[in-house]
Amino acid sequence: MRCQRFLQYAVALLLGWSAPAGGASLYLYPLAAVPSGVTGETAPTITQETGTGAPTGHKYYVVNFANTVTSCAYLSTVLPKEYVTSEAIEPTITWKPSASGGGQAAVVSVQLGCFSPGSTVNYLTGTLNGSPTTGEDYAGNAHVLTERSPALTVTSTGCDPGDIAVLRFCRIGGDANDLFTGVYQLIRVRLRY
Amino acid sequence: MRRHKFLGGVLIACWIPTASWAVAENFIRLGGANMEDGFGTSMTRVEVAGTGQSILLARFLNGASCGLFHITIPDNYDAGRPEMDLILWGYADQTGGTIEFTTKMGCVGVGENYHTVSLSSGGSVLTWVGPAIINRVEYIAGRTDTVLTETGCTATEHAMVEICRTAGGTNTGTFYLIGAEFQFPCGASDSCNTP
Repeated sequence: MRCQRFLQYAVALLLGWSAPAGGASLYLYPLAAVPSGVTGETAPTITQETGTGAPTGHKYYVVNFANTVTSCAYLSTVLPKEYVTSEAIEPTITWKPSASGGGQAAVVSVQLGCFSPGSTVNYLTGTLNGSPTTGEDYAGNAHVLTERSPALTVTSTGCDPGDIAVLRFCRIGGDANDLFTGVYQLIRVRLRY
Repeated sequence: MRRHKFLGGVLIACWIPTASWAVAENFIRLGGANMEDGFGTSMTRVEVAGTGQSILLARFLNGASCGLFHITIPDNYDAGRPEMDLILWGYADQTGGTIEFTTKMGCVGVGENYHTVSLSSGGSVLTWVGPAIINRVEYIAGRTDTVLTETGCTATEHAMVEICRTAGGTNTGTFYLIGAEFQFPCGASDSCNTP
């Protein structure tokens, strides 16, 4: 390890290059999503869709967030050893409107929390860091991917390498600004750290 | 100059134990359990229980069948070099013969229609010489130079990689895919060296 660190510094000195701080990403996909069981929230469904591109019939999974209700899902991953303690983690949501529905916006809420193995925090009752963010505006074109990082940076206070990071992602379908009348389908979540 | 010689020694001394950090973000490794239904006849995810282990694998019966991996093109991917090396790990329950695989790939980014994305072929056929010992884990043809000529891929895009066992091989057994590794070229910058 010492040798590795030394080599990195040595190469940086020689080339005049400095490694960017962080900059790596973790990706989470629909099959890793767990629908919320919180009272008052609608659990999104995870379904398999059949695409129409060539070759015909390719399959993919989506997490369906309904209109007019609050529906949430949880995704979790382990922060890698390269993660720097308490460094901000920025989520980016990739999703698309389903084939039906109109309107130009869906409102989202994103929260993040970390849980350390061996800590005294109860995994089931621990709170998530950061605050919900609303008002994200997505284009409403059927099946066309949209991607947006929440305007409010999700902080990662208390996160350490090796922690289990839990992301809570909701569509606030009943919000006055949520104008899309159909289902939004989650394709991917990116966690940049 | 003296510093360069010194660094050369350091490089030699450190290269082997530190080789892994240099390409941290250029590898994507997925287990067979992450494989999803493909086109037409699909592989099947099965739990295989041995006497000392149990694992979820992607099973390809003798004949033609496909599965799909969903991955994300790495941040530092160099779109000017549209290639990707693919390594498959697995085993067969029959010895001898050959097992052949083909690959296809498609990418889709923001503003593009996810539902109608097409996958293009262009990857070379991977021909794996059937094993001498059944159920022994091996690389498929070692590190192949499968070049996927899909030219539309850019960094951070969502990619679908289809892997099909063809009916062309002569091994009569079932193939179990344990995992796959996707290796992308580094970009022009030194970002590949980011630990």
